[in-house]
Amino acid sequence: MAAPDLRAELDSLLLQLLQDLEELEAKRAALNARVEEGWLSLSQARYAMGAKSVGPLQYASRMEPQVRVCTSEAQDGLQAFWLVRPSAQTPEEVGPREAALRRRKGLTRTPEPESFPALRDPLNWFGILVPHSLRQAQASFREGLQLAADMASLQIRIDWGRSQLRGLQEKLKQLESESA
Amino acid sequence: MSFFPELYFNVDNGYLEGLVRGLKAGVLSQADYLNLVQCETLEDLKLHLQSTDYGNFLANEASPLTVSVIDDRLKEKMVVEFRHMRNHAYEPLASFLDFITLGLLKGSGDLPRLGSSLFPGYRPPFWGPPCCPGWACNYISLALVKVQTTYYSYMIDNVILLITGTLHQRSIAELVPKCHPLGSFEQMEAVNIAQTPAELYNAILVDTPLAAFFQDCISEQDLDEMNIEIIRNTLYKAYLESFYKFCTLLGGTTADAMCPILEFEADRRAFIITINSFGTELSKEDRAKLFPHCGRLYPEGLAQLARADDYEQVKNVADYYPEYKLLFEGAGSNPGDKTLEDRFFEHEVKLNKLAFLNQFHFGVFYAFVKLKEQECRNIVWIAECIAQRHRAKIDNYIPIF
Repeated sequence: MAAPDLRAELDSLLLQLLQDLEELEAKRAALNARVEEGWLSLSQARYAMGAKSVGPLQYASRMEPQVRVCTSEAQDGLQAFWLVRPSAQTPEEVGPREAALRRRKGLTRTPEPESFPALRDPLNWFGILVPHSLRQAQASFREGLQLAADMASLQIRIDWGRSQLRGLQEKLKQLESESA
Repeated sequence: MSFFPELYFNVDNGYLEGLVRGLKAGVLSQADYLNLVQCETLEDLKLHLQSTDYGNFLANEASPLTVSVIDDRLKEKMVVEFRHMRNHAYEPLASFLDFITLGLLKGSGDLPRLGSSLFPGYRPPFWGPPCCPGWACNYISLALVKVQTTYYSYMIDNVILLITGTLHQRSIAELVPKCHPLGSFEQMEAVNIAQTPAELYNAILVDTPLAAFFQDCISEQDLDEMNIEIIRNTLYKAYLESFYKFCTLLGGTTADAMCPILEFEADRRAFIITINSFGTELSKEDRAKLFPHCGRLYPEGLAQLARADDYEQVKNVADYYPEYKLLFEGAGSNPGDKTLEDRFFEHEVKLNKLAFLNQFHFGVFYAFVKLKEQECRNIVWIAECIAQRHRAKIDNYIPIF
């Protein structure tokens, strides 16, 4: 490959990498903001409901995840992460990794093709009549989840981009040393 | 004792009223809160609390300090003070104080904590999620614990032991020898057979004073979150109405001080239940059954609230009552506004402070407990803001004095 083409490709790759990095930073800031909001809303819920009504006593140590993270291969060999809610799940998902909804990880399980029972909203662990701040907390954490999956995909792309960049730079060096 | 009750009040209750007023003087002031708000870490907070009436209550805690530990210790301190007063109380103050603790146990989620401090040596049994039948058993068993601590304490010990044993699938032959001989009762064998709280009620609770509160709640339904919520609120409604009746029976200055406070509590429950029930599966009829009837909203306001479909309609109902109209006006859900619950807490603090303006009545004890609860909420809120390093809303506490 001629050197100018290589350089052009290098430039475009670098630009793409920088764009991805910027997006990653923006998403990271947004995730931090969502998580902070979520925790503050939880504190507000504790203020309204009583400090022990929103805490580890309200959930079991074994829980069903509401959201699963699935990976898929895109056409250029990159992995992408998708959030899947089991109600929309298709049976051929392979290798799901569980993402516990804002709690510690649940047990790893092999995927079961049978239909899931109606999943209970984790909000109802705290009762039916929950204050608005608890619903806000749930909304914040849900948004944060989506951001987290996007960030994971972006990070994989960035890593791939960096390795491509390195490869191209080496090729360029070789070409230059050959032509010199 | 119907004429000049002030002349006789101090015979039985003078020491305790003096004590509660002294304790009230130790409630954190605005200056204390300003100090607390400037703390950078929870260790700083602990240091500042040492210079208040709380003293070294966190001295024996392992570092790092967590908000949950601070909350526990704050509550324990209040419970110790309360316990002291309860132990020195004569009737009718003793019954009055019992009513307050019953509310403490039922109204908050502090069941295990208070259970273990009010009843030393008690360990909460299996705490599954609310859908687990064991949850209601624990709820019931702790309420049992409070009501009959002295006289039936051994019996309660045994009941709790048998219940937890049954939940963990132990045989009755294994459990009965571990029961305290002083607390045996005829239905002890029946506890093991009781698989659900309904059977537990029919076998055992029906003979206890708590039965009156449970009559409408427990039936042979499954315990899912909806029914547990209904049970919880129905219990609280029954408790509030009987407390109100008790205060009106006491009469005099106590009734004058307590009835407005309890009426506000009832109305506030009605508003909060209505607003929180929007978007849930709670039907309007079920919702209406949860409203306590001892407030100013009864009967027309409650009927309208039962029909309300959104926040605007609730606000319209509140507009018929001047003080509630004021509370709703100050509240909003924009980021800078106070929430409605904050406004309700503020109003509650105002009413409770008024109780101290009168002498020779029991309202001061209730007001003291509620103000200490609010103080605890304030300190925990400040601690959470410090721990999460989110100081924007740290001033959302409600100053008391």
